[in-house]
Amino acid sequence: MIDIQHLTFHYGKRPALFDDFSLSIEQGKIVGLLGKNGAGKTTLLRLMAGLLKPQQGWLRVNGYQPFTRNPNFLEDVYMIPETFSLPSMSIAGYLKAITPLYRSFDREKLETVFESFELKTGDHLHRLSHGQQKKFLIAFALASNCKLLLLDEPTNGLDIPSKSLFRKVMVGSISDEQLVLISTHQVKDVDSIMDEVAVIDHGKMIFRDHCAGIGQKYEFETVLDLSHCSDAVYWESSPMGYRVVRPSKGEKETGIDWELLFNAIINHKMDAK
Amino acid sequence: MNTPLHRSYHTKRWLGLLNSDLRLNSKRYLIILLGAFVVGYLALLMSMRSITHYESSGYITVFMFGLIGLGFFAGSAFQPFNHQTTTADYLLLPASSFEKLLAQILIYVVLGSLCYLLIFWIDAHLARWTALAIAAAQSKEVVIDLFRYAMLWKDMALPLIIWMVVIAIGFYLFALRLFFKRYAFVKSVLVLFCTFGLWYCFMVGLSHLFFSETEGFMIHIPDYKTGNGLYLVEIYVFVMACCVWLTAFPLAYYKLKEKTL
Repeated sequence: MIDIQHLTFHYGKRPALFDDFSLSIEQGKIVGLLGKNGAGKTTLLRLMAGLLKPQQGWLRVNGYQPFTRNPNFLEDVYMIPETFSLPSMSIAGYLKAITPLYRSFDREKLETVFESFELKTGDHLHRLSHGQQKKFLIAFALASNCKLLLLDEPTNGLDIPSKSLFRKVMVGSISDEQLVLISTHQVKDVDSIMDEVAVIDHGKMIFRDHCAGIGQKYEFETVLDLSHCSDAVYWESSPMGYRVVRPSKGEKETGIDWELLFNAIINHKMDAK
Repeated sequence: MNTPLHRSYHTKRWLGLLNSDLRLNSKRYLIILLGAFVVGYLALLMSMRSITHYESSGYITVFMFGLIGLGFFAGSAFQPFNHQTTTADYLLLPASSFEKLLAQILIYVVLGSLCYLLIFWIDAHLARWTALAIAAAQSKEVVIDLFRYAMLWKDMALPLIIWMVVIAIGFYLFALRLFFKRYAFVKSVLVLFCTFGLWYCFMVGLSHLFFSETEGFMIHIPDYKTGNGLYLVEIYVFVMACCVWLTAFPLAYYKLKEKTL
């Protein structure tokens, strides 16, 4: 589905954001793309969508070179950017204008998602709140049935019930032929739907693993003191004592503390490429 | 289907793109049409009110100003490229760069020109009727010739050349704006003026080089008439306009194909 080999990319004369970057992802997954601000998450999504041209390396998505922007490729890729603008018109008008361009667009699926998100085709796009506009875009992306969905901070602007609805709708709408890449800072919003997590930092893939695998390999606990945690991979002080991540002994499976995991990865205490 | 032809052009897909553009921008196009209609009507009416015998030359003057507006309209194509978010949406629409270019040309050049001709014709008749009615109410005697496109053909040496020049300028702006990301239209207009300025200086230089009688910052234009009744300068303008047409198309296509965020 996505095959990136030895990719180099830089904006203008700035230093390379990606240098010798490689990544392969197969379809039928929801992958969380994490990283600090400026790590290159959005740039990576844009490269995959064909909005940016890599200077060097091999980049194929669904067998196409994204930057050639082949219409057959574009028909199967939908990207929801972090910031977006929608035209001043009704949802029905927008759908009439855009849906004929997506051959696999599923109107019934759209109606179902609309019902979950409490959206109506008669609504005017500019009268919707930012969160509702985002929900509209998510509904459109899911109904487009594109093989690759690139979502940049999809839960930004969504209220708490909508975040939960988003997870429910995503899980219920994605097929095995699709791949969803979610770039986010709000890991907790999407942790329950991610199959895999990939962390990039300074243009390098520094961690990648299945969420189930992380839960089996590591334990995340809060302890009063570190005297019994000689095997701890990483810890942080907290009001309750210490939050610790350590290799699992196989006795119990704790939930994943995503913030702790992310900090451990970023501080190079964990490596699972 | 993934043949090179299908990748570049597919009628159904192109019509879908055209439909999408017309639906998404229908309000904007309607406002422009309405604005052109009102401005054209008022301009013609004002010019008719100041002359007792309004002839073809009056119509031609207003027509020429309208053509300049048409050139700017053609240059304002690719509206989504005004903002980064809409640029991404537009580039990701499932259609080829060629189809996107073709759709913009059809809307901004072909349909734009046809609408202009229609609007001008309606405006000319409506303004004439209004001006005559006002004159009758004021018991004034005025003569206003009935507008026909044939009168432009007869009195204006080569309206086709002028239209070509205007659209060439439009294409030039059209292609130029793809070179810029922010304030593309303003920058394109500035570059257009700079290019015109450089061309003028070049012509002044040539005039001084080849015609010793040239004075100051003037261009010396020998007014030879060719066998087919056209003046040399008209042929030159025609050739220049054709050159712009021929270079603007591939340039716009290349820049659109290579467009990034």
